Formats: sequence, structure tokens, C-alpha cells
Amino acid sequence: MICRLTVLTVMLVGATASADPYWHGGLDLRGDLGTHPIRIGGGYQLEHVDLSLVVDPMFWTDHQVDTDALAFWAPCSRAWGLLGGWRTSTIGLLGGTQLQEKLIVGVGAPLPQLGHHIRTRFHFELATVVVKHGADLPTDWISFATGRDFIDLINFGVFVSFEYANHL
Amino acid sequence: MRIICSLALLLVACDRPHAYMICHNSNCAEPTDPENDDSIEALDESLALVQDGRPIIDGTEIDLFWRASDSQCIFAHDLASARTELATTTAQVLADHLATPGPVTFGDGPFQLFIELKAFVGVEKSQRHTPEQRMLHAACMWEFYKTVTDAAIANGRDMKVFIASFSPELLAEVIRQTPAAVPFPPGYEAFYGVPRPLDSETRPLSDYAGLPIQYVEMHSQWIIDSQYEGLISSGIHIGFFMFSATEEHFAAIEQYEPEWVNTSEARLMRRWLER
Repeated sequence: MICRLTVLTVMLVGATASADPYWHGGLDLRGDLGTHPIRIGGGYQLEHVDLSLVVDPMFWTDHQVDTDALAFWAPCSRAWGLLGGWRTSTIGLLGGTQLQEKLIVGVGAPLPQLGHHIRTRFHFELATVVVKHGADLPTDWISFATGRDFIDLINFGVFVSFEYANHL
Repeated sequence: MRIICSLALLLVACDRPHAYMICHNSNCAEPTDPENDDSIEALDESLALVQDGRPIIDGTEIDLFWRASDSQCIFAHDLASARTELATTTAQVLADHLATPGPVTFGDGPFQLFIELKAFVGVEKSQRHTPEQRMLHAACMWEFYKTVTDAAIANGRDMKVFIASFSPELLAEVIRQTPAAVPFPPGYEAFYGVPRPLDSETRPLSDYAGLPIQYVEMHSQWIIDSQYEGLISSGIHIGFFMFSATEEHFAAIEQYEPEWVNTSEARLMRRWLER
């Protein structure tokens, strides 16, 4: 077992040691209702960690804006990895804006390459609304007292990113 | 498909969804606290919510529960909470509300009363009605109906009444006991709630075969397109219910345009609908 772990570790280190940092940017697409279906993301890939910011060009359709700050960690570029981050959704209301703050956790995996500089990745997320606030409405934190308190606040989602990536 | 629709949306103007807003479990004054569901205190507070000088809601949902332990018909969502008022007390609160001068809905439409008959009789959802308990529960519902509708007639109010249950057997008993005079003929409603195994209550519509189901209330996060299309093509009217509105609910309302929204957050939902 230890031998296998050692071999795996050496393979992972070997696979990632030569990875140079690079930037990436492109589309973030989803079919579920967790955010607007088309958003724009971009970020910076370090050795094992990819930091991204996703912004929302569809805000004008319904006065809602979904902005993500995400971190993705994978042992190498072809491996499944872990996703974590924060999403702030602003909900346009009559006379104000409510903010819904969500904790994002999940997993991701690379999809087959579409071109030398085109990077695609699939993500599966669990988004939990931690707090709703703003618009002169009472601040509402998630509670686990009964199922009715939280069942609507925890949602699964799937999204795919199509991005241009290049070294700095 | 949704992405294609979204691309189309980028090219055309968007309509604002219109839906009647119903107070879920008579407890829709924020912040949400399900422990206050179906309590007189929350009902009073919810009926008193106003926006621009008008009531913020278009109606309310009342849960009537048959408590087997003492054979009482109570206003309650379940038996988890000790706060349980009699159905007759609740009917009188609504009757008094309808007798109060001024508008009783946000729009100018009829006051919409959704009566849900709870499908279990004890602490556990697996504790189902006996045939006798079903008869008594249905009779309680019609007594409740009479008190409220008498007040509506006496005060010149228009109403729409919906009678719903997760139990088709209970709805069948209600229909069997329909009185000779029904001033506001009720619509009968089933639910597509949180699916099994997360919740044990939702039953397929085929279980309601033979009943005049015209309305289905769906939980807006658990909609399957084929179910939705099947209901629509059957002429069923669809509403949504929710406990806490998130972006997913708002997007579902925009996508499916339900006829009514049963919400626990009246001010949030009204301000979203009117934005």
C-alpha cells in the first residue's frame, strides 16, 4: 500500500511539476436554475490551484446577478479535483436588492480537449444559501431546526466551462 | 434547451410573470420560521402585511389537521409544535378579516383560500386516517368552509376556494360530503411536493383517479419537465409552493409562469413580482 502511494505521489508530482502558471477566460454554461445559464469566467491557474472569477452578463434580463469566486484544486491537470468558493446572487426587487450568499463545494473534471488552447471542464456543485440579506428585509440565516428551514436552501448544480487558456 | 432559450432571451424583451401570491401555511411574514406555521399569531401577522396601502397577499393557505389522540380538528401543519388552535377559532379569524372594511387582496381579485387537509393524524406521517377519522375531518372542513364563506357573503366579498390534500381518500370523502349549498364551488387540488425518499407524502396523480382534480401545486425546485408538460396538456392549473425563495425558485417562476405562488416570504415575493 505504501509502495502504491509512493508511486502515485511520484506520478502526480511528475505530472504537475512542469506546469507553468497560465491565465484562462471564457464561458461558464449550465442547464439548471442555479444561476443564469450563460456567464463569463476567467482566472489564473497556478500549479495545483485554479482561481476563477465568474461574472454575469445576463443581469439585464431579470435584474439578477450571480458572481462567483471559485478555487479548484486538482493533483494534476487531467485529474478530478475539488471545487470550493462563494457565490453572491443579487435579486432585484421593487425598491431594493436582496443578496443571497451561497457556499459552493463540489468536484470537477477535465473534458476532452477541443484545441490546443481550449480548456473545458465539468463541475458538479452543492450550493447552500447561508444568508439572505438586504432590501430592508430581515436578515435570514440558514437554520437546521426542521427540514422546512433548509430544504430549499441547498441545491445541486452542474456547469461546464469552455475557456481559452494560455501561458503568461 | 435552456441555454438556447436564454440566447433567444438576449434578443427579445422579457415579460414579468404574473401570479397570485398565497401565504404558505398562513405564515409569510419574514424572517421565515416554520415553527410558527399554521398559528393564529402568524396568521394575524400575515393578514396584516401591507404594501402601498393594500394587503400584500391575495389569499392564504390553511392547514386543517385531524389529531387522533383527542379527536380534535386543529389548525396545524403537524404535531411537532405544541401551538395548535382549533379549526373553528381559525375560521372565525378569517371571517373577522373578511368583515374588516377595505381591500383583502393585493389585486382586485377574489380572496383565495387554500385549505389543505393534512394526510396524517399523529406525530408520524405514517399515521393515517381511519375511515371514521376521514369522515370527521371532512365534516370539519365543511364547517370551516361555511363559517368563512358565510362571512364573505355577508360582507360582499368574492372568494375562490381550493381544497387540497396529499391524501386522495380524504379528498374523496370531502367530495362525498359536499353540502347542497356551496356558494363558492371549490377547486380540488393535489400536490407534487418534495419527492420520495426525501419526503413520503407525494403520491402520483394516478392515485387521484376519479377525483375532479383541476389544480396541482408543485414544489418549484422539484419540477420535471415531462410532469409539467403532462399536467398542462391535461388542462391542470399549476401553482408553486416553497419554503424559502432562492434564485432557483425565481427562475422557475419565470420559466414556468405558475398561476399562483404559495410563499413563506410575502414581502420578498411581492417585491420581486412587482419589480
